[in-house]
Amino acid sequence: MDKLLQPDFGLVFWTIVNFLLLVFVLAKFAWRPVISALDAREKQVKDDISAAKAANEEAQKIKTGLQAQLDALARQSAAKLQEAAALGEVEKQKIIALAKEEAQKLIQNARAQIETQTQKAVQDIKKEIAGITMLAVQKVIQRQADAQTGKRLVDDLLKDIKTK
Amino acid sequence: MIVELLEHHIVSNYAVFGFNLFGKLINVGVYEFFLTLICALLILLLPLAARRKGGRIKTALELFVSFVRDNIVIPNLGERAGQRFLPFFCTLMLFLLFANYLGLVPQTHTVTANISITLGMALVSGSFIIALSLKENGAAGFLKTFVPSGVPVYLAPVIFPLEVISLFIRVFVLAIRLFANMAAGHMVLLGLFGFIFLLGAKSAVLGYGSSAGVLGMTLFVTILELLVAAIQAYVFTLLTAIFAGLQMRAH
Repeated sequence: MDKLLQPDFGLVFWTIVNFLLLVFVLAKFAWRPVISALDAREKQVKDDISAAKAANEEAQKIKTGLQAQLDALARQSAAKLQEAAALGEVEKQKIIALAKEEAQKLIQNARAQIETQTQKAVQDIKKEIAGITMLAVQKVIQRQADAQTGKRLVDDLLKDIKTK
Repeated sequence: MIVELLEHHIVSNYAVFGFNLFGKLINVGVYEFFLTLICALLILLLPLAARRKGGRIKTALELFVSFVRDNIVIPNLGERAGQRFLPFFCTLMLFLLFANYLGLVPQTHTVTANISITLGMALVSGSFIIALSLKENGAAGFLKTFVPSGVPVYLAPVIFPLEVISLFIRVFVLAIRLFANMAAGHMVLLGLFGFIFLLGAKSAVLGYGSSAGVLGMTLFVTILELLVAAIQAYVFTLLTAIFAGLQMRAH
């Protein structure tokens, strides 16, 4: 059993030499490439994450900006709409007033026209009546008296009609 | 009998081949042979794998390196020294893994079940621990790491030798732990196989009858050894990092 724990110093030395050589060679030709690739990848991942975060923040900013703009636009359009509605109301009232006025005028005109027409018609009828009367009178006078008395009579009659 | 078998199997460094160097016969023992074989295989294969652009082997290597870095080296040595000595720890763990697992292949020898080889590895670790502390703290600072802060001045002469001895013991125990764990599996396997022959010597039926059960048990122990091989490689590397970290910072 003692032999199990009895080191052979030649082998110890050989182990150390072998292992140091292994460390030296592997460090240079195996681990460095792997470690640098690993570091590069990790850096890439870190960069990507920070880039994505920055992009996300940027997008968030743009989104809030757009939202603000949209809100402003909505407010503006609402205001415009209200203004337009108010304007429309005013315009409506104006138009109604104008129309009423116009209608009033038309009615008045119509009334005036009716009035003048009526008077003209009355005048015409009067003239007609006078003509007819004179004709009738002439006929009567020609039959019953001379022209002188007849004329005087007619004149008196005409005066009477005119004064009426 | 088992001890003799073990001594033959584990200790006897019989010559695999010999060569003539300047008229002197140099014998290459079986342990030197396997040790050199492991190193040669790693030196030949690993740079090839590392230089590949992708693939499973490269991914596995990257996983291995990031495991060693994030779980063993950086937590104990810190970012700066950790990055610097990461290749050392990667080599240490991979070498031990390779050596431990190669020992499970039939017809090979478990080099890490030999005290000379684990002692060599422990000496490398111990030298690394001391060299790192010397480099980080300077000679005076290095000596100060053996006196924990808060120790009264009059106790320092007592504590100092204790701490020095403690460092050496820790390093020595690294060698013993790895050796014992790797050798223990062999001992158990030998003991189990010994059953067959012990019982077989009494009667052939008993010998054959016991072999099935023994095979089942050896299979279990072998699977356990697969686990132990990985754990011990990890523990050796982790402890080297922990001791280096402790010695690096004046505590």
